[in-house]
Amino acid sequence: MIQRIAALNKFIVDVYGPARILADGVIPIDHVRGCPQYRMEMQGVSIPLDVPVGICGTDLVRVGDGFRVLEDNLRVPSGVSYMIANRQATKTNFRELYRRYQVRDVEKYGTLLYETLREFDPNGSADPCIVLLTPGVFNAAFYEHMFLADEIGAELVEGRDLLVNDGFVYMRTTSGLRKVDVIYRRVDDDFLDPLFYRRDSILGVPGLMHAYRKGNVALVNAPGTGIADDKSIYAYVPDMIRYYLSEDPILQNVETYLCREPEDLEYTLDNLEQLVVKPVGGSGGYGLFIGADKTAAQRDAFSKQLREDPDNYIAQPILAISRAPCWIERNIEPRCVDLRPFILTGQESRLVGGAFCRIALPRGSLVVNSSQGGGAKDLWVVKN
Amino acid sequence: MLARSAQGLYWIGRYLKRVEHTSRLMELQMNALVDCTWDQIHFGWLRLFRHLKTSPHNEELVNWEQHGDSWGLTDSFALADELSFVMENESSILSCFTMGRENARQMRHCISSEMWICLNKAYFEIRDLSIEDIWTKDPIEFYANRVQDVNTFMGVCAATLYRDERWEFLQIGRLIEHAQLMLALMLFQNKSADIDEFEDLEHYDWWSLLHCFQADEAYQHYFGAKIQPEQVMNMLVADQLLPNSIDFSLNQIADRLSALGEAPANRHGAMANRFIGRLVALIRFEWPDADNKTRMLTVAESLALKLHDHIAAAWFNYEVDDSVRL
Repeated sequence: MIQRIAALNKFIVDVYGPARILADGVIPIDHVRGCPQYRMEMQGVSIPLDVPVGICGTDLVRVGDGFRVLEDNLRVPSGVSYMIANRQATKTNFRELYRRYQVRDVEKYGTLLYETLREFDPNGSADPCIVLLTPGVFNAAFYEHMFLADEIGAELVEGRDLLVNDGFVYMRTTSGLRKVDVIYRRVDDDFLDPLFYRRDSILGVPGLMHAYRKGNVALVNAPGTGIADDKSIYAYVPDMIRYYLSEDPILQNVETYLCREPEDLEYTLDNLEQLVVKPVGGSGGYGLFIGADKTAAQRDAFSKQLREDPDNYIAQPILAISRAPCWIERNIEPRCVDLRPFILTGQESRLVGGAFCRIALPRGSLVVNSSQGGGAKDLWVVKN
Repeated sequence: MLARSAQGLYWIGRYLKRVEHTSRLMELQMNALVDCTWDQIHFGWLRLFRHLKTSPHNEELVNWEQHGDSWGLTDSFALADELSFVMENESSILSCFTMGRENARQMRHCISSEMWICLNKAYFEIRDLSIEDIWTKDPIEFYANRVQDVNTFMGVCAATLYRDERWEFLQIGRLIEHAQLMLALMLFQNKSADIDEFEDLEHYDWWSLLHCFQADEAYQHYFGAKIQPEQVMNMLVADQLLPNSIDFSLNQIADRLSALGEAPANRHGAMANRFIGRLVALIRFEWPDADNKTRMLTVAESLALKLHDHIAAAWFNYEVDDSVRL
């Protein structure tokens, strides 16, 4: 995981800087610059610690011969609070079992997160002002935002609590305006700053990007990190690892067909029944086309759609991902699971011995996303 | 602390105080429905709606003295619903409870988990109820339980909330709401004493108010069993030892504002302190000798409303140019 995030961070710094990887033809330039997640405003910006992705949640699945990376979540990865809440529930209900297995601790995540965020302070002060920026109470992950703010002892702020003055970010407190050093933002790029991105956004802070570009405040994760977790870029991560680190990838990708490539498109169209097709900019399990679950007519209709806009899709084989026993309606039944470990990177990379484990609740389903009705389990990494 | 969090805590205090206050008077009104005359019941509804500064949707407040019990009870059923469960009515118990909880939901990281659990349990107990559910069972118990819910919540706050600004803002909200509602109530009460229609109600009503605000025992202890309206009003307005009196609340607000210290917007902070000073002086020093109590209550009510505005401008919504930079 650490190897992978190191390469991804180098890639992001590179594409918004000298773009060596593009000049050397490792990744086609149009795949990057034409990607909707590419943020022109980040070009030439000095990123604190040269670490655009301080918090990464990478989705792993286990197949017959080991783990595979399904995708990297580099923008605003969520779910870590459920990892901790699941652990607390397990510890309460299975105390003896838990003690017997010597399970590694996940509850120190808050401390690690705080240490990581502190390292991003542009002023290097002893007691930086760290805030967590949330879209607000109506966001589906608000519980997590609140939970994490509490864990790291940060103020949970909304855009309306912050303002930019003379290139610095301040928050409104009951004692006056307090300068903010580090923003752990849980607001998508598009809504961060109405002066740079969506003009109709009321979730962001006008002038925030200006303060960020001047180096007066750190944003974690940095804007524009979506360029590296776009599904069409995912296929190049093994190449990035070789290019930047001169190492072979330890964790393997799932075989991926880029429909923008004519050969891959033909393969996808010929083998639609054995493939799952995903929109490149999608997330949350939305827009997936699982060929095996569809009728011939549906596959034909989708083939037409694919031919009309091949750049927007990738295809991957349907994996026989591992299953775990689950307690479903008073029975133990097998369900597909995946894992999302969280990797924190500041001056160094840190992980807790656990992950957010998601399960696909409907029988036979492969879709584990919480937004699609997925469930969760406590994952134990045992000491021995 | 974040200004928005302080504001949220302030409004939790205000909304829950309103729940408690309305529930107390509703309990009184439900008791009145058992054995009081329609004149007395009509007066009770008028007092509730007028001092809460709300009115029933599509309805006039009618005195059913001339028309008989069945219509009067039907009307009371609708009016009780209005002040208990109608969400469109911003003063209804459910509406205030919902708003108090919504503020708490957004401020969960600022309050103790015990406070959240307590408030949430109380909210879920009433969320799906309707007036039909309580009317035929025990409406009096329902309102008494709401008072108890709020008291329990405040007790849990007292036991678990860290005594920093969070505590101060929650208390200031609660106390300002109490002062404003009591001033409005006393004002209505005082004005109605001059209306012929309510002439006969005087004795009944002052006693019920004493009971409602837990002042009956203290009153009997110090003044005996004879109800003297002026004495009752003096007690509810200016008694320094009665926790539900206006004077008591105002003094508590002054203490809390002083504990907060300088506001980010100095000008409004100073104004808030001046307004509370004037209010305290008005009730403590001018009230006992005032001939025109109605005028005095009107002035106090207006000052209390402005006090809220200055607190909001000083601590919650201050202008950037006015503010202190840390």
